[in-house]
Amino acid sequence: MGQERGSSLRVAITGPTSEFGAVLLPKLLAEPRIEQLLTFGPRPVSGARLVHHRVDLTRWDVESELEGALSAAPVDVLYHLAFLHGRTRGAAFAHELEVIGTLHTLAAAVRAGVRHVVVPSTTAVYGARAGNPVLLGEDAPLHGCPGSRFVTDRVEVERQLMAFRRDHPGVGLTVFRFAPVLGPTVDNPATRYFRRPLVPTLLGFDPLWQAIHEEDARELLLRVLDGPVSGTFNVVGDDVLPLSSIIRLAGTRPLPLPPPLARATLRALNSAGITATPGALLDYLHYSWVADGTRARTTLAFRPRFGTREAAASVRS
Amino acid sequence: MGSRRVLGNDPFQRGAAERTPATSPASDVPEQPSAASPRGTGASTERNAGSAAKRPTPSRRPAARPRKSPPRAEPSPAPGPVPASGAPAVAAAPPPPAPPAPPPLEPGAPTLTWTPAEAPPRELDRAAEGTEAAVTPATASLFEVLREAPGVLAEAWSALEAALRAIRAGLGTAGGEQLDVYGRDARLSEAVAPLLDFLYSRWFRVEVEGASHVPAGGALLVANHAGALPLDGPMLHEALRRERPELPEARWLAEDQVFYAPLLGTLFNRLGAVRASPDSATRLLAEGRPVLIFPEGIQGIGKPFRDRYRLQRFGRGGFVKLALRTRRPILPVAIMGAEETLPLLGKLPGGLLGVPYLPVTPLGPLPLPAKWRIRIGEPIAVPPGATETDLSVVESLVDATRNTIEHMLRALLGARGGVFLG
Repeated sequence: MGQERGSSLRVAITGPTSEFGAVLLPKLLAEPRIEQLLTFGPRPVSGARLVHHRVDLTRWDVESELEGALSAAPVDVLYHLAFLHGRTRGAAFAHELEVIGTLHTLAAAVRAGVRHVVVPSTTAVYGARAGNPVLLGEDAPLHGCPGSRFVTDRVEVERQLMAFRRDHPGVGLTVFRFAPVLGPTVDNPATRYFRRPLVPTLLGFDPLWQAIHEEDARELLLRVLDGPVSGTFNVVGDDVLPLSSIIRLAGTRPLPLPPPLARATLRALNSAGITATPGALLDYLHYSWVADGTRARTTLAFRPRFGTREAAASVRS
Repeated sequence: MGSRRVLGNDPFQRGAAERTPATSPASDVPEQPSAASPRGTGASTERNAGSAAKRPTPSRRPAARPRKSPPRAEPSPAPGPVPASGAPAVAAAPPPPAPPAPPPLEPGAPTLTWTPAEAPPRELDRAAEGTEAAVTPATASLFEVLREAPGVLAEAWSALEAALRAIRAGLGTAGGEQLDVYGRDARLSEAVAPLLDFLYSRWFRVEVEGASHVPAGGALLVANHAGALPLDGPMLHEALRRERPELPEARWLAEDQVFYAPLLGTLFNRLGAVRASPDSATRLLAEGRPVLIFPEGIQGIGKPFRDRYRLQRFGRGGFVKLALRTRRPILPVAIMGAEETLPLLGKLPGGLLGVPYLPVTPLGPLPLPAKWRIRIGEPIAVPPGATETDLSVVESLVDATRNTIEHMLRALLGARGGVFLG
């Protein structure tokens, strides 16, 4: 798609300062094939060939605003990256931004005739459960984590995307379900977890985790410009490691707590308002959630340069 | 593999002659050349030869016990007459492995077989050599014990170290960087090997019959399940590793209650347990692995001691459906000894630890040194054309498997001299 048009790609991003936005934006700015880059976000960003639109995706009338900006000239690829990665400013806001924001963005994309939409997701949407198979394929049910608003919202976004794919076959849609993205610069719940001086874990459990290096995640997102392939893909590093190894590789130490104590402590801290981490998230420290990256490897010829091990080690620094 | 079963490694010809028939399945014989020749096998042969040779002396017990060992070995050829179901071939031709086996009393030969043991016993070895021919069998056994003592102690020590390592892995702080997608940690398995070795060849003195029945290309080994902590999975796994090193490494399926038990579940997973589910089993079989299945599940390990060796319901026949779907044979396996190893005397509520119950056993998590025998029966072929939706076929295959295991268990129990002596 991009090749024949030479340097005339028009690309749009929502959330240029989000987790993936921050990872991707510098590369997009340096990309010679891009003729114009539209950005939509609350905080200003600047660069050559960049047009920023200050929008708030949680506003009810944002859709027409987006549509107007997107339909000025046909957009080839829209990266919808406006998802929370920092500490939440409240569950209601998170829900508005992620679920309703996606709703607005997708609707505007359809009306403005965007050719292809790319949305990052997470392998956490499968949920960490006792009943998980050895490897979770892309078709596995999205159980999510019912006790956690964060994961539940992402599952809801996934459902919207599935409906969108069904209702609008004319618009390309790529969903990348990333394993926790680790790297020296990226900032997300996983990197914050692994950057603690003592990382709480559950005594007697050491679930299997995967990770993907930020370079590989960026590489894959950029590759959409070469010729987008619709579909949903798990994006995982090559190897599987126990949580405690990732913690060690990240240069810190595990603090194993007996599970009942961990849950009780977390509940106490939450009700005291010190933390806002739902206890249900401890499932991810309890059960394995290993996604099968075969489809991305075969369909997209995606070969991550770094494995889970290197990704974990890159958090250190 | 027959070659290392050779109890002729026992420097005492007497013991060797008596025991060989009991333990070396004749059906293994044809395997011998093929199994012994390929690369890599040499090492394991030697290693196992060592353990087999040491086997007759159970742990570091006073002389009194081993002294009994010759008489006790005699009844054991009796298992020969138990062709009950699957194992007639087993008893058929015991002698073949024997000829190369008993490397008689030439002073040099036994030393060779002793090499795997720790250094100190070697000198003792030679010292004993001269005398032994002259002394009475009973005194000879005493010598045997004394001579082995340092080696056994060293072994027990490294087993203890390995146990600590295992506990650390179970606690979930040890890490490990060489895991496959199922969660098995090759390096940890190596580190824990001394413990498994000790349990397998010293503590339980596991004897395996019919290992040659396991075909290449994947099979379902269906066994009875017992012991408050299910050690039968790792032991059967270890048995296949030793007896059939040429096969892809086996995996055992663990019920959720064990797989997600704190410490134990984590440790088992790192050693090769896979959560029991049709998709994991299918994946394992597609890799050509033997898959070890305990269809009784938690009912098997949760039954009180008075119900020992009473087979529970075989789940819902999932293993048969799996066999029908993957067209792989079912091998019935009877395991004797696991029941007495960790007898379940009672159950304490375990909600706080996230387990269905806390088992009460005589020595806590420490296993009793019951003698183990594992008999692997002949494959039960899957009828051609049958599908997993054919419930009557499923049911009859479940029954056939269950009955075969039952028969083999009865035969093993009938031939058993004593719980601890075997």
